[in-house]
Amino acid sequence: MTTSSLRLLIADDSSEMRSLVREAIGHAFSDVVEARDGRDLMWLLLRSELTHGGDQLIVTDLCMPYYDGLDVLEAWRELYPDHPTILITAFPSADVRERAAKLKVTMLPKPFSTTSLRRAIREATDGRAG
Amino acid sequence: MAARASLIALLAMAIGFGDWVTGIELPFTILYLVPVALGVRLVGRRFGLAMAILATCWLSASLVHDGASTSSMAWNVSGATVIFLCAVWTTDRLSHYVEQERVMRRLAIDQLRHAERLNVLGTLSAGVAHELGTPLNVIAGCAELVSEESADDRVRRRMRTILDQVSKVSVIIRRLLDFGRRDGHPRARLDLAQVTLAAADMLESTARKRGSRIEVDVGEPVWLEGNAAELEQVMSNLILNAIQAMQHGKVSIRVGTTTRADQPLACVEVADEGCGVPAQNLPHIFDPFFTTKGVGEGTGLGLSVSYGIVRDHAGTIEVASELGHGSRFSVLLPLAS
Repeated sequence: MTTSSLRLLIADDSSEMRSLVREAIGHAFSDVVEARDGRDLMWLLLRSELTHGGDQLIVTDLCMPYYDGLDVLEAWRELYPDHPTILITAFPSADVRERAAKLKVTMLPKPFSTTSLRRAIREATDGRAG
Repeated sequence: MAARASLIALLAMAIGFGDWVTGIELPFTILYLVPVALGVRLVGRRFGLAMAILATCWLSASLVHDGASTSSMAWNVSGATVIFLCAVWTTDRLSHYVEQERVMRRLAIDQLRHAERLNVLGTLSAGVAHELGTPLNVIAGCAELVSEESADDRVRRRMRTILDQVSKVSVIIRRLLDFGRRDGHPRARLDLAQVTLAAADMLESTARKRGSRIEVDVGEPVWLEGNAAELEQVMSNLILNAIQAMQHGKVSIRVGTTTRADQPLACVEVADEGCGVPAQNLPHIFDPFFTTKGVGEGTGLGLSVSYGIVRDHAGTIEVASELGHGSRFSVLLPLAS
């Protein structure tokens, strides 16, 4: 599937990391929004349900203030189980890997290259199309 | 020691004198046990035996002084001698047991302190590595974007240098995270002998290049629950260290089982004939970045990572080393239930 119809939601507590993801892949999306912590991400997701019907790609870091990326995704997946989602983490413990696999989230280990980020997006969106 | 011996001998003399003055009194036979037991415990078995002989002499003298009959003397002296010798033997056994327990306790405390220190270092390493991950990722990402957008070859080359260096730092960070993590990768039932053989095979040519050889002694399969890739990494690290510790020699590897505190355990021993580890370095060999190798030969993370992996498998690594003769690393892991 193409990403041009999707909104890109980037969640990371590092503004530099958000900028990097935006600059690397943002141009391929209809709109880009950023969340700086887990609470922000949850709020943006709930708002997007009203405006976009949740039609978006989520790229989120695991460790963030308030709620971690997986906690938010677990709650969100109950509403939209098929949305393409990428989880960035430098520290994938066995528990994290298990939870991510259950949610069918694409994992992207940190540090990642822009090439591997684009590949992960293809993987996540192709999975959705299939 | 001499002061203790003199005091105990004086005590024995005082009891003997009392016995001689008061004649045949049963309590004195029991009192003689005090210097005998104290002699064994505080000075040594030989001194305790000397106190037992002294006590027997005093008892005989008292009996003579009291005009005891020959049969009474024979009965009393032989009976007392047996009691004194039993006291020497019992006290000696008990002393030995107490000493053994004391050494075991000291070793256990040392190991706990060491494990605690490595635990703290692990947490610190994981924290630092985790915090460095994001900025490093941003540096690499920006360099990639600049490289993609620039048509200037010189800029692209410089960006490539940045990416190469970031990649090197990333490897160190990955290994620090491996050392500091608290849980491992998926586990399955595996044969430790096969894992060790795979690591030994992989390093066979490296050993040959340095004029050394690897000998693996494998018996029955040793089954345990673990991650084969991680344990192979541990074995590779230990074998590579053994190869690098000597110029020409033999790396002896033995895979089998052993017991610690009556618990059966899987065991892999990797021994070299190299230079050995100086005693002052032994407590630090698992510390991150501790290395005695030359510049460029190692980051000092191999043993730290191995320790982290073995600890995550609920095991330990024991080290015995003799300067100039070599070292022996023993990896001990719980057997499959």
